[in-house]
Amino acid sequence: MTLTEQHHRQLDTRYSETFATGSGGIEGAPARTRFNAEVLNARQKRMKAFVDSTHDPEGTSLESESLDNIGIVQYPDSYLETPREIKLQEWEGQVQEVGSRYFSARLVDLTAGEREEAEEVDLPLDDLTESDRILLVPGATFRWIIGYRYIRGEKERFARIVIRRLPVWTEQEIRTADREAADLYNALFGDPHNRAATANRD
Amino acid sequence: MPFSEIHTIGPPQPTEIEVCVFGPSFGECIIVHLGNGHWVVFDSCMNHDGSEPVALSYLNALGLAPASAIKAIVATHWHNDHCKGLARIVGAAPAAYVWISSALTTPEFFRFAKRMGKNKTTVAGTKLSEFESVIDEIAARNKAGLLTFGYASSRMPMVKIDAKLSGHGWPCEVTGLSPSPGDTLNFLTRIAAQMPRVRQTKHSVPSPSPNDVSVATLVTIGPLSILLGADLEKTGSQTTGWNAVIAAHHQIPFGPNNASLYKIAHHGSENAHSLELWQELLEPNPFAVLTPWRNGSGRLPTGAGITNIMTETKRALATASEARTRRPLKERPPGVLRFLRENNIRIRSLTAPFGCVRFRMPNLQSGTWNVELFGSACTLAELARTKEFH
Repeated sequence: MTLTEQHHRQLDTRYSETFATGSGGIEGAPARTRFNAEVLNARQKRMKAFVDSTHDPEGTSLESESLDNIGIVQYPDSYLETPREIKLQEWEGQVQEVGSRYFSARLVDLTAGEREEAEEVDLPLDDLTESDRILLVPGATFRWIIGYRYIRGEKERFARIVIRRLPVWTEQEIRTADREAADLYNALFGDPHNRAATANRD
Repeated sequence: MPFSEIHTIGPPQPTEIEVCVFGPSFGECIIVHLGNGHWVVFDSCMNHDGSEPVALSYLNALGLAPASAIKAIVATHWHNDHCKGLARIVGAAPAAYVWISSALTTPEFFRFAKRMGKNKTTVAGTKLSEFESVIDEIAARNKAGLLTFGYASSRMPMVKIDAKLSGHGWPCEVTGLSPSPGDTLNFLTRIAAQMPRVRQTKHSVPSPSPNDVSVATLVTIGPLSILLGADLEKTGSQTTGWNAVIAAHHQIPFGPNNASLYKIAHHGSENAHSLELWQELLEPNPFAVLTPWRNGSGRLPTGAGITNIMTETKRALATASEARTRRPLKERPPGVLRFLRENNIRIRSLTAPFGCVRFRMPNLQSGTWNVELFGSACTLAELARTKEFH
């Protein structure tokens, strides 16, 4: 039996012991719901009694209750070993071009503590996962790491390219940027009443 | 000639004109001595070890103080191959007048730059960081009451030196040839399309093409004319790019004489090639110099671009040769080097050996340029022979 199978089996056992009476299950099929109706009902009664007795809108007794008491399944800690990694080299890259087999990028050597692009490289597209390939456009940024890792005592070399999932511009950032732009523009060209550089013009 | 010997002959005489073009395969800086210690800096790139803007290194090496020597600084456009270190030059020359393309002083571009500046997702920062620093430096000066900022456009006189002060007895003038109003309008349209918006995924700063807000410049010193093409390109329209410059020249000629020296526009790209420019703004067979450019697999000039230039002049030069710009790999752990070797991955350094072409004209009456090549500079014919261009 593999480690993953053992893990799933243990979880199934836990389900059947604690939540076998779960509502919503199909007759004859193993119960898959995560909430035990009896436990939840009992908790709701306790909560109502507590709120009625205190009338304190800020108060709560949740912190003192165990997870089982509030009907939440707690998974056991994973006993799958997390590989220990030693990074020998790490770059931040910015994609310049994407070809049919390779993509070219400019690199910042993070291991050397650099903050400017000082190198460039062509990397094979094969090294990317399918989900990362979708993100591979000029301007995309990525981390490229080369190092060693230990798995079950074995030392092996690895190289990993991870394309960054970039965040979005927030309303706050845009508003701040526009205000800074207007301030700068007015500082340079004077009289703000005759200027068009005002915030929130979009 | 080794780059280390660039300062050995000392600074130019007060009567001597100098044009020094620096270019390390990604970056460009031109410094011009108009006479009598008046220097103008066009754009900026870093020196050979990346420690200092090359304009400051060069002037210091000649024993000149940048603070008093630099009379004007022209930022032809905002791309980072033309801006690196520019803020430090502006800071080092507090009395110098700073000229920026008029299109880049619009509220729309300020908003674009500030919004882009909120993208902090990369260690290297945005391509606009340097340009923002320049603007901040100018704003600080304005606050201190130093009004030393101008926006360059077509026919804008940027520097004027009276004949009595020029050292050689001839008046000097530096005039903007671009951008035209059409260039500015096009640029703002593209900026509007690229403007970051709420809930849009953060992306890097695009490099809108064509480079039609570049400030091309004509330097006239008495009978001498020098054309600095910046990154201006030729477009399909008569109201933008080089076509607009030529059209303006047809209406009122820019200078008394055609230019004997041309800093080739946009790294010698085919898009920047204009036959009318060679025929109407330049002398026959002029000196021409370009700064090569590379980005990913992109290379300028291309073979076709070199052919275009060499058809028009036999005296074409380049500030760096591709064949001479390779450097050994940085020192890295053996495991990393082994991985790179086994997977046939080659990391190329962007800090290429430096090259410079220096032109000096001791006597304006003679009109003769003395030309020196330093570092990896070469003739354009030599650049064409390197295997990358076959």
